[in-house]
Amino acid sequence: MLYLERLIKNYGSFRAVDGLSLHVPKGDLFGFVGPNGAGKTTSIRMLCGLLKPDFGNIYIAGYELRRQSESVRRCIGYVPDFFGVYDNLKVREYMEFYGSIYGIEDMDIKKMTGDLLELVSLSGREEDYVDGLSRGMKQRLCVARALLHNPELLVLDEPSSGLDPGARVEMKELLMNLNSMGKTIIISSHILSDIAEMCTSVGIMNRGRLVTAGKMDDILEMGRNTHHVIISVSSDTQKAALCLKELPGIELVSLRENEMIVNFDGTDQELNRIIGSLMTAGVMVSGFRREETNLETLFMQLTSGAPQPGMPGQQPMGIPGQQQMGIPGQQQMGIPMQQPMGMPGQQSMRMPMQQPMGMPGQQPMGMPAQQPVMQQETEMQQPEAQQTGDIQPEQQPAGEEVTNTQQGDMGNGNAEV
Amino acid sequence: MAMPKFKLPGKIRINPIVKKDLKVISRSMKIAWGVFIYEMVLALVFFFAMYIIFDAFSSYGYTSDYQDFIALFPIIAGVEFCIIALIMPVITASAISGEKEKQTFDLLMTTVMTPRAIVRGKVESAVIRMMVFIVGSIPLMALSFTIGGLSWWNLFVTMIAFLIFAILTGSMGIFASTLTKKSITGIILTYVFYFIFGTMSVFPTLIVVLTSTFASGSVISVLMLINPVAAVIEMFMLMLGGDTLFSGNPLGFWSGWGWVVLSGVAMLLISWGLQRLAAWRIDPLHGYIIQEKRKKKVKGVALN
Repeated sequence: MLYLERLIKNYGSFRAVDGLSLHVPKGDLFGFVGPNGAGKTTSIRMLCGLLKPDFGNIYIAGYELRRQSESVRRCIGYVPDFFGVYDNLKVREYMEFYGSIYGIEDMDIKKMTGDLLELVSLSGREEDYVDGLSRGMKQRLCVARALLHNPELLVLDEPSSGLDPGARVEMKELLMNLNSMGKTIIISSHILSDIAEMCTSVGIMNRGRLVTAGKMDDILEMGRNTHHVIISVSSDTQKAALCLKELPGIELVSLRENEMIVNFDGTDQELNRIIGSLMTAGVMVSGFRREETNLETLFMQLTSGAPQPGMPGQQPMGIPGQQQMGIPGQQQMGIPMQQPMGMPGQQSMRMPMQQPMGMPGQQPMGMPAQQPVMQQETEMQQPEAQQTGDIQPEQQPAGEEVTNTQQGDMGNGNAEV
Repeated sequence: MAMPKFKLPGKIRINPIVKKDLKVISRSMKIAWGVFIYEMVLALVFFFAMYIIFDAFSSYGYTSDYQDFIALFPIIAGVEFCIIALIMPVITASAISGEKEKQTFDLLMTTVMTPRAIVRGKVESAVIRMMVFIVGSIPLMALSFTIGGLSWWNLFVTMIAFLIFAILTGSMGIFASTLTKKSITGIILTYVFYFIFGTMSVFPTLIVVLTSTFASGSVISVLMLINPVAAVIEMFMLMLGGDTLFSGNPLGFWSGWGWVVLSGVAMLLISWGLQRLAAWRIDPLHGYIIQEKRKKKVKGVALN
């Protein structure tokens, strides 16, 4: 349904989206999560045709945005985080306006408006003025509007922001309902519990990059394969960290204020011994516990200590081999590198470094066979990114060159570390 | 014998933006107050002009010449042109920036509506709103026709001139609206455009006049084609009889009604150009294909 191919977007010298590649298959409810400034909204605006990428391609339902923007727009229903409504316009007229833009006949608009308003629980509000509706109602009306032309893909940017808990639950149920009807939905949100509950797949972005993406179960499983223990200390954490380094079978993942997160794959007795050793070394341990793995903790792990883009010696997640997260120079967060998006039984999601789109003889899943244009495009652009230097290398911050080289390798599916 | 199949022409589709804008504006009191103030201004001008023209009314010995009523026509029409020039930027300069301010613009841009259709819709709705004002002034102007002796043809031509002028100023306003984020800046920018347009035609004309040659009349008439003020003056002079601005022009077609028509066409072309520019400005994907072509070209060079 959706292919993003090595998208890059710069705002001046700041790179908001850095080589984003993603495939969302038809029927998925894909959650886009990441901290503020991670590049989620920029990515969403690019795929909706509201922003021009500096580099890369976007394919939706087999159409290329660059050349078939009208067809792409016909396939998309977009619900932004903030949107305004026209004064002095009734709900019915609001729907009529957008329906007429899509060339839908008046009678059909009338019928569809009734059905859609019922779907979003706004029946009987047809004659109300739009600017008189509550925020939650406006948000639901916007979803109804986005569905008016029966798009294949629904894109929602922070649809729950500013909603009260009740409206949030309604919105969540609505989206799950739509997904069960076969709509492909992409949703960006900060509310990770909602994402974990309703999404079938998820992508985590940080600093413009897709840190990881995959089916929700696989992503959560990836987190379960880590054995994190949180040790709370009331003395100097730096000293505690040094002591910890001396101990076998344990590795430091990250340091927080009065807390150390370590990776430890051992029994409780062994853990007790380690805590004892720390205390013997003079570290005041005030408590310790095994970390529960959910999307929130995984998100924190992946985004809090993520490597700086382009920092030599570090790699973005997903490169075959060992992942490095957190403090540079240390072997950390030894998540077994099982390629989150290429796990057995999960063929739909691909990490950027996996099989590039349009590789001769290998049609990506779900891609219509009518896309010879895309194949030529990809083949042409792969080496070009480096040959022509059209990504404006002069705008890249120091160290960015290393990152791009890695990306080039990733894009060719032969990432080497 | 098989009967030829006649297909009824498809339903005329009104630009959805025009439909929506007119619906929204007709529900607010703004337009009603606008028309009221506009009529008030015209009425004041009308009575003042009457007073100037027929000041001898106070005298018992005065005998009225109905032909004098014809003088009201250029005065009222001139004032209307000035009001259009003042109002159109206010209506159009907030068209795009207003959508952005209200955060409705992004929703429009994700629909299948092309930037050109959006711009066209905005200009059309602004012109229609302006025509409400213009039509409202017909009774005042009609006095010159019923009493003064002007023909209905003259009224029709004047309406067409108003329409073209409204399209030109509306297009300038829309273009200015795409350059700014705030409506007020857009309005000011449109007035700046007026100045630039005026300078573009008047300044070279002055140079031609100062360095007058035998063909200066023809050159001036060409330079003044894009000047709406010159077109309006020429049109009134032609209607009222007597000399025109370019009456001494040796190139026959470049004077008289021919010149007025050409000027109208030139202004419509400028409007079209400004609308295209405005559409290009608001298109978020503009340059996306060009970027690709440029890359291909560079790549071709690199491979060679």
